[in-house]
Amino acid sequence: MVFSSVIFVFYFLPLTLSLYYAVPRHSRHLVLTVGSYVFYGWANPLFVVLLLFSTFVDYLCGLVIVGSGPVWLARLLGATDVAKCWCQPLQPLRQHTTRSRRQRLALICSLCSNLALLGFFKYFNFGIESYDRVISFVGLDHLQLQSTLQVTLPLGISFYTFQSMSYTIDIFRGQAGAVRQFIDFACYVSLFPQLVAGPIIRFSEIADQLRLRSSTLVKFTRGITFFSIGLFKKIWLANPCGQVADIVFDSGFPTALDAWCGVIAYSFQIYFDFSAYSDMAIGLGLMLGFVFPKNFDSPYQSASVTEFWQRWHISLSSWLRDYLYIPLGGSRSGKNRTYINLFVVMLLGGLWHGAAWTFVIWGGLHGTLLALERTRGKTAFYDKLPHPVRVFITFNMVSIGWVFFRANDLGHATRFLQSMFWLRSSQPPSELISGILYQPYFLITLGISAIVIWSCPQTWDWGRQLTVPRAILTSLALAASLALLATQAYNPFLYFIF
Amino acid sequence: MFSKNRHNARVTQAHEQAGSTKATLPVCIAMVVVFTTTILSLPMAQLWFEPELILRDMTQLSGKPTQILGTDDAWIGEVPIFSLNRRLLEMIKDLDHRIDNESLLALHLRPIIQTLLTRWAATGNENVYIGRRGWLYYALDIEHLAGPGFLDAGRLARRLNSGDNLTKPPQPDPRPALIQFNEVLADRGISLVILPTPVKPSIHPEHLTRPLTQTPLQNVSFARFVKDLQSAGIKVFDPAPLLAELRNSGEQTYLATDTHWHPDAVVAVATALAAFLTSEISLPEDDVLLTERQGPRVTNQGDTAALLNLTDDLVPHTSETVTLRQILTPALDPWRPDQSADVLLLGDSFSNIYSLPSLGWGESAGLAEQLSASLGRPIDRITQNDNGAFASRERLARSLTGGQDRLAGKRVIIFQFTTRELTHGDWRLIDFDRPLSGVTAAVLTPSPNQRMLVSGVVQQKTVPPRPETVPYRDHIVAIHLSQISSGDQGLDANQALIYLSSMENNVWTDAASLAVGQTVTLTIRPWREVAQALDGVTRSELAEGDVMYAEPWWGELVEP
Repeated sequence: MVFSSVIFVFYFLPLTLSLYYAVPRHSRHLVLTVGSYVFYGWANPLFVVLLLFSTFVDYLCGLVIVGSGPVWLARLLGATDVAKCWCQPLQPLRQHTTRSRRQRLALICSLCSNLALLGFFKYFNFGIESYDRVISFVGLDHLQLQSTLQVTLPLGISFYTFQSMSYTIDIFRGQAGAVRQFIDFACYVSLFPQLVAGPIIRFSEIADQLRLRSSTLVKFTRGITFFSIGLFKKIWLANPCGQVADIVFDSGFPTALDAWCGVIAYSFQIYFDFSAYSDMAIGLGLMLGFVFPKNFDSPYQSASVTEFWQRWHISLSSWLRDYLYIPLGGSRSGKNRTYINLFVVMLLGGLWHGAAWTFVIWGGLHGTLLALERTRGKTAFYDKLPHPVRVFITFNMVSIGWVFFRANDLGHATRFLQSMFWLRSSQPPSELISGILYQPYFLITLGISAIVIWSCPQTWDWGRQLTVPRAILTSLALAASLALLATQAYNPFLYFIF
Repeated sequence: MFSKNRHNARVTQAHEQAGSTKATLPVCIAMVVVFTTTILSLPMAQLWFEPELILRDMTQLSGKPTQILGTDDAWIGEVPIFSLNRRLLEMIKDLDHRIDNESLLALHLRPIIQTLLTRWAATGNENVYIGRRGWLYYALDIEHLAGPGFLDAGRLARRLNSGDNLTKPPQPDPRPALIQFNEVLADRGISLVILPTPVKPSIHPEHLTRPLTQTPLQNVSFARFVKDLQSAGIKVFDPAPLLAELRNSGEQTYLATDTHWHPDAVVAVATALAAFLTSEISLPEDDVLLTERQGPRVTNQGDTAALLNLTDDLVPHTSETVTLRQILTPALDPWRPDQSADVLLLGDSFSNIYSLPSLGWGESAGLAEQLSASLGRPIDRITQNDNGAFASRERLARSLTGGQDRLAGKRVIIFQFTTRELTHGDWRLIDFDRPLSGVTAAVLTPSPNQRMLVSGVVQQKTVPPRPETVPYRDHIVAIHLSQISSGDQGLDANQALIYLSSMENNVWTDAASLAVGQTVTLTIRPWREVAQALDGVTRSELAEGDVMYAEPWWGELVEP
């Protein structure tokens, strides 16, 4: 189910909100969990089994790490003090102390099960294809695997496995206490506002709110604002920009101008699509009493790639920092090691986005740029230029990177880049593309998108002071979005496939 | 990327920001009221006025899922968890579709919004691009022409892997299917002529972009495709140069608001095709007498305009009037195909237009009629709207398996399809050597003028397309009905192949939502009684079992 759909806005949301506020406080997690499983299973009910499996494993591992696992599991893992009272509160472990073999085993079990799920469902096809290609390249065709098994990627698996892993890591590190009730943990993992496309909410960020959170009228109103503006960005900006991008990227031989138009449209689409989703997620969270942190901070206003990554998909970049970059040594092991760590983390970050070489190259490109900027003290090579020029250059570099992100394969990306830089001639049918692209509706949408990106306040700032005019504008944005939603069949959510 | 701000600081900051929202109580109350009223209004209205849209089909989880055509996934129906999952998925997709397209919001608001967008922003929707001077273009046509070559290895591979839980991936490369078809025909001494019919923007791009070359636009793989077919000994009659020539001379060769060609273009192509056949293939003299009647004028809304789903008051503005050259028998009866003819036309909606009345563009003036007149000989015809890549070939193969040899006495088969199919079609290999079906005695065979009220259980059912996602308005599904009973009347068999109308004028009928395992009551009569009018309507056929070769019935649902 997607937020920008009739079924979600008019059926799922009112039903869930009504039930949530109708039941006693102690039953709200149950309502949220059941609702979230319906939300998740809407794409394929069978995927719910995976989510449930991942949740159950991490829940048990968490209990074992804090020494309160079910008796049978703790015994299996060699614990001796398993009979501790079930009703005792689960306090965080002391930080910076040695963990027992059982605790380490439980953590490894959690990490392995999550990574195995992710590895199989996300990377199996990619791994087999890559192996076969390499084997074929070196002339050992008879060693090809040629698997007929085509694994379907479950929705949002990249997000919820990361989120679930953060739970066991956080309690292993002593940064949070384990959850006693399964339903509380299931609620955290499956929380529908951010289940399938983030933002990635770490357990330590939300542990307190799972125990105690307030639902106020002001919070609910702020949530409406977030949701309405997010929906507006999605329906009125991301979708038309996506149409432009699709038209150009799906064409065989675009002209250079069309190719640039397409890649800029895609840059706008991916930003509006993803930031709109984050806005709506934050808004829905607020309606339910949760406060999620900011995930986008006007990333296209960045003057360097380093700054871009401080503003883009913040929940992912900080997750990678805390759970990958720092454990790898971060910047503590010398300059060269820092550059390598940055590169490796971005490479893996690219692979996290998708199981294809295009994503690896995209990650590698950003890793290289980050490492290069690190050599200059986190500043761009063009930092002497005026700020607007630096923003312009950074935006274009990021946009060129998006070509790899959007392309179907490496060949497609290469051909598209050739078209962008006049290295490939177009064909007569491409004129049809120009005839469609430069229609007023698309041009106006691209223009408005640019204004919103570089001139308008962020949703966080807009909603901070809800005056009467702003309230009216917000309500109009909601109405306009729902009106257009009724018309559009083109309504993808890019991050659903990651 | 890796600043030293820790994540908890971000949460704290978020809490501070959320907690510092400045809004007066009246503003908060007003916003909450507006929001909740908005999101509650539609479901309330829907449940009040039309509750069955949401509630129907909720009790059919126990049925077996529909098998995906052409796949070996029947085992899914036997494994309870997969069967239940497939059924759930089908229900979810169905409910999603109904809510998206048949809810009060969709029915009443969508035409208004689309009309505003089309009028004031000159924009279409995901199916239609707006050209100048009222010309409309089908998005898939543009995608075919301007997209990458349909024979590009990468594109072929992507399409081959494009299936999902409910759909089977297509066979994307047209060449193997056509070469195989040619070999089957050659074995019986029959020549194959391919007629790839260009899509509208091939010939008339000028309403979308600046005037282009004098030659027709084609997908970059088209020349290679033609060359490969000719190398394999297949004759190709490409009408695009002729149509471009007509356009260059100022004639309109396609309809402005429809995907299809103009009646004058049909006549011109039929004439040229007749000349091509005469020069390339030896056909004995024939002297069939036909009469021409010039002048019937037909007004209709184009299929592309219908895909826009504008308000009713705009229908006249998106309608066109054409003048037909009808081909009639000497007794002035409409032209009819002749199964004993030595020329067989297989085709899609480009062959049906001006011939199949349900398309709304008149009759007796289609490609087969004009070709028959130009050749001066009778013609046999198997046509079906949509799925030009395989539908007519498949129906030919079924007729062979069902014991009706439509290839007997044929000298030439003309296979007409739209070039869009080269990019988007399913070029599945058809088995023309299937043994004659021993259709069992358990299958009900219709007798002339027979009418029956029967009940039975849906054993198999094909899937209709989503309304307004395809450029035709009607569709027929096939069902395999088992455990048939007819009141007190004794029947000599308890199974039947029944065709049912599943989509009429872009709206699903009740038959579209039938589920496998469901008990239904319907009136049935022999299909051949309605075939004249309905045979060209898009139809999805059963994929397996003896019943698929049985003589079909035409059914109308009584219950549910």
